[in-house]
Amino acid sequence: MEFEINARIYPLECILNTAHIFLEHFFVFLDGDPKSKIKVTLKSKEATSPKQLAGFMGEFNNELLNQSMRLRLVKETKKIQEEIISRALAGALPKKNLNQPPQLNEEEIDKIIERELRALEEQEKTLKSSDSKDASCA
Amino acid sequence: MRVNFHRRIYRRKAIESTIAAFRHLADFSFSREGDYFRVRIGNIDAEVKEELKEELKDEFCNFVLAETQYANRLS
Repeated sequence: MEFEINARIYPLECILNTAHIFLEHFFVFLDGDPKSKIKVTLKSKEATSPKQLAGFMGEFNNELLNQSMRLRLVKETKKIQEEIISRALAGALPKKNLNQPPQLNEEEIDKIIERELRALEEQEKTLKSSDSKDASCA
Repeated sequence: MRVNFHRRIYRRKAIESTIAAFRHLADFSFSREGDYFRVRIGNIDAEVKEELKEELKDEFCNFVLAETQYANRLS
């Protein structure tokens, strides 16, 4: 079954959404210019009478209306949706600032300094030993 | 067997990914001519029954439509 849709009334996005819903039970093929007319070819995956097919065409047209209404609502409420999401995300953020370093007590700071000093001393030792080896080789 | 997909309706990526998904069932050649992407389906796997060969084309078209819709939602 083939029929045409006025693409000036129903935008391509709306036609594609509708076609997608029908994919489960029909083979759907679209052709034509999305700026003027789209030709829809519907082929049932199961045996159907011409009368039933005509009914499916009506259902397709009804779904087109549903989808165009849905798209309009999405556009109209876009700002509200964004506001709700941004507030929800802001509310879900932890109250402590994660960028601040963790608070350490004096003991922990001393331990870190000692560890770093030891590492430096070891580094110096290894450097000296490698220098002395180089000098003896020369 | 040939299928012409209008460039303003179907996405190139959708056709390419569908060809990749159906490659094990037949040979596909893809080209762009004017307003259409043209796909030729040939050398269909011998295990595909004769009466299902036309259905293969229809399933291919459905798959391209679904992939197009998926790509549209991502962009």
